[in-house]
Amino acid sequence: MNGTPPRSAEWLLHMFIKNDLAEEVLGDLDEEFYDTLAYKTVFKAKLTYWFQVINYLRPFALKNSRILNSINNDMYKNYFKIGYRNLLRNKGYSSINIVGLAIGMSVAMLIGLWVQDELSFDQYHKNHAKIAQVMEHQSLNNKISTQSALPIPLKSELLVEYGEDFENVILSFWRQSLIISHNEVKLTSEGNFMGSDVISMFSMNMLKGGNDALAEPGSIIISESLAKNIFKDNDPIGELMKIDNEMSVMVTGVYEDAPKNSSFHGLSWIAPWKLWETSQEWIRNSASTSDWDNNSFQLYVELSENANMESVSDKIRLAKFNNVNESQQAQNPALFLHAMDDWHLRSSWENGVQSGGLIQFVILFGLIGVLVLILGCINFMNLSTAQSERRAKEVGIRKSIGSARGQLIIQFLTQSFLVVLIAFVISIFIVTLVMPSFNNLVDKDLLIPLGDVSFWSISIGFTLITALLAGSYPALYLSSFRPVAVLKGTYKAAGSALLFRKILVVFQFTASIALIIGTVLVQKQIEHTKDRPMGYSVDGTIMTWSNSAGFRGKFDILRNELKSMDAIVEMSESSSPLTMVFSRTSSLSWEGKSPGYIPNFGRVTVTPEYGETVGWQITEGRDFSRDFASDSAAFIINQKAADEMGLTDPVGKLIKWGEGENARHFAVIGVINNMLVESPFDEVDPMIFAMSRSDMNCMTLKLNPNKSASASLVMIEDVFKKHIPSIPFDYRFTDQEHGRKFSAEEKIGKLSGVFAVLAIIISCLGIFGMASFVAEQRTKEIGVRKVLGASVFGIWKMLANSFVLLVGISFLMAIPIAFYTLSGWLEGFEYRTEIHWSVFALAGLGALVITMLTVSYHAIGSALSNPLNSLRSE
Amino acid sequence: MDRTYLNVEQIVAVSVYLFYKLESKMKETRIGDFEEVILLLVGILGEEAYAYKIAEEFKSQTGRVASIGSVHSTMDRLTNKGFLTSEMGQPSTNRGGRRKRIYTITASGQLVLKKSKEFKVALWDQYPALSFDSLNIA
Repeated sequence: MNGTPPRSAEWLLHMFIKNDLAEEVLGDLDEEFYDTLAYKTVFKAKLTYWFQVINYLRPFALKNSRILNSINNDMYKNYFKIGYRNLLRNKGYSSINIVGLAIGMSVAMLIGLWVQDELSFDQYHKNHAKIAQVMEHQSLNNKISTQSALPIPLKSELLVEYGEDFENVILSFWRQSLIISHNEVKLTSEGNFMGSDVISMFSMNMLKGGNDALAEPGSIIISESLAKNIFKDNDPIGELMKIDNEMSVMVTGVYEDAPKNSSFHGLSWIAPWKLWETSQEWIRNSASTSDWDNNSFQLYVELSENANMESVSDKIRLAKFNNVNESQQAQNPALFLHAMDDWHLRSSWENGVQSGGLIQFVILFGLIGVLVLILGCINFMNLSTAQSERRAKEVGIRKSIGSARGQLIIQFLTQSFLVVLIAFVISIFIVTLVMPSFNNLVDKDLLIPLGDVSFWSISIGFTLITALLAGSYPALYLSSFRPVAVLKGTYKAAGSALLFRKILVVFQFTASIALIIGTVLVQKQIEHTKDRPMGYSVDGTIMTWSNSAGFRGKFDILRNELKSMDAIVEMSESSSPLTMVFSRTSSLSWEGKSPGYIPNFGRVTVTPEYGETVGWQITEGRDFSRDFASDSAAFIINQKAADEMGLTDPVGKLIKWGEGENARHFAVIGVINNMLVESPFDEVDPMIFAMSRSDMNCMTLKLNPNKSASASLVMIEDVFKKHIPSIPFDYRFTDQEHGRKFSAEEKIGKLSGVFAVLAIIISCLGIFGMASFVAEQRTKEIGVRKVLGASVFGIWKMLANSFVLLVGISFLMAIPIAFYTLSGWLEGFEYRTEIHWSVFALAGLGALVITMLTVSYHAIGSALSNPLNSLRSE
Repeated sequence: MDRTYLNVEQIVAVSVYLFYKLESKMKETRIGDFEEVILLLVGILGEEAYAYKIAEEFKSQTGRVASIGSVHSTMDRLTNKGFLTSEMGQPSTNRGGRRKRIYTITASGQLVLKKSKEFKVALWDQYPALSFDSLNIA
């Protein structure tokens, strides 16, 4: 019967037991072990040993118990107490620290929430990872363009040839605003015609009706908000409605409104694709003849369980190419899948390659958020090290009575933790306060997720990291003092620390100035583009949709009546509104067209009054006229089109439009200036205008400038109501529509403006603190200088000098950084402002003035003070 | 229906009470039942009064099991209260050459034992029948 006490249990005991207890305890346990062996098995003895070891897990026996060690506890209490007293003693510096940090943290928090929201886009739809839109790259004149309009037969092609990869393939038209009516209630609202599987595919949250609600062609599902608007509190299910006053449908389902971060946001109704197909002749034809040439439709797919997005995307590449005729094959159509997870953030292509999209802003603003937070941390580091001389004695004493360096580091970190904690609490208040205006600015419904565990864990982690970041340098620096030197009083701040502080200030101002330059330039770019000559007049024109059938044949009556009332100067109807081009064509040919050239011209059909209404300028030839019957086969082209076609004298030239049997010849009767109808940031596209009465979508009215707009509008509404009672009169001012094209850029401008202001505030807080510190330190020196006859200006100059120098260095550093980043940003616009030196000069001057003001407050204060006060204190 | 909440004065009163309770606990000079037994066992064992032996003795005297750790912790507490002192004894082979900590009762320890005994005897004296029969222990 031999055996030894279990090694692992001994090891465990050693791990936790106090050193001075180890001997007696191990002895006792050994003794018991051998006693037990005498009458029990080795196993049982070992078991008993373990039992005894576990039973030594008692507070009195534990090694270095932090929680219970009252000396340690007192020490931490003392750290907090000293930290708290320090904060109170230097109220000015403390508030600068805390305010700077709180601003930085608020910005970081807001941006964090915004980024999180952007990244979670479309996750409302359960299958988001499996859903994609089919899109296509085409080569046109050596340029690859990317778009999503595809032909109808592609759907069955995908299902037949690649069926195993897809769970669902649905056709969809485009979002459009149509009149939805129920008895007397008529509303214009946005919706779409989509394949009936849309409900299950996009996991629409059906409040009423099931996943098969769109199975019948005569059905419609509507959003909760539309249901409220039309049916109030009544049950909409089974009620009859009309779409566009023509299609009769029955409500078979109500779905929850999709949240703002969903691609389905604002979609008020969905009707079955079949209904749309049967009610529109051109689509019916396209579907029945399996027409691969009509690229007007969208396709959404849901991948099957095991299919991989990328490999399927590769697989279907040639699905269209293999089925189209030669002229289309020349454009080299290559299909691919655009995953739903990328719809929002990665939706632009440059020459056939994914080139980002909103994700760039997410990254950019994420970086700015971090930057602003760092600026706040820098204030803390600077002011703590600047004050170090005052605390040098404290450190010296602590060290000489036995503080280890590690303890001092912990002490200073505790203090920075205290500051950061206070700043965090304040920043929560700030964020709560500014959340509504921030939401307004970024057009979102963000909330502080106070009930969310992950929010708190991130915030706490964030606070700890910030405390570590902000407190690390002061902690390491202050704890490195040599006690003898400090206590003897010979200690002076080391040059390296001074240099480090200067570097930090330079960093702050570089970032701030770069942000200011950015803001100014974004503003300039917006102004520049807004001032861009439009080539026609949008002032006092309104537009109204006229795509509903009720408008057919009503144009002349409306025009005559309104003109006779003097409500308008002129009005016209066209296939695209003034601010957009709906239709493009490439099947154009003319004499002298080079064989490899594939035109991509915007095409607008108009009534003859169009030119008069919008005020375009004819540079050659003449405008459309009702007096010439031949004008129904005439084109007016813009200058850009004339240039692209290589026609020096275009008037009178014939252009063939269409192919084969459908081809018709049009004579160019006039050339107009390059009107700016599409994105004001891009170059003007070549355009052709033709006279027609069919395919009209929009009316444009030029109000009578001699009458007040509101009076004219009342008249117009009356006339419209009289002749087209079935359609609510809904209009927009063209200049406002044009202005909306700037909304994305203006948002960026505003956001970067806000961040730049915050960055400069934080940086100024920092040098404000530094300046007051320097002024205070040099009180005696200033007193002596004054007694010896220094002027107020001289002293001010002496104090302000060093800061101005730092800002100067920052300015020089900010220029290349800003220049590099901003020229990259500007490159994205075809129509852009140049980066003028005045932008830099303005930003630099601004920073300098702000610095001077900040520094002068203290500099002048101490320069004016009575030397008697500063000199007699000893 | 009215619900009663503690008002401010009540909360203050409760806190003050709890504080004093805590305060008195820290300066505890009375002893509990287990502590009293341990103290007595230390007296009984004399030179052999160390944690393991006391735990063994506790088992054989009461028939209940107490781990060495719990006995050790109690003796540590009694030492802090000043009822026991200890010093290291001689090493022995069956302990792997390690020494043991021998406990002895201090004067105040003896006093507290005496007081405890007297207190109980005083209670017994007041017991009405002065006889075990009436206790109905059967």
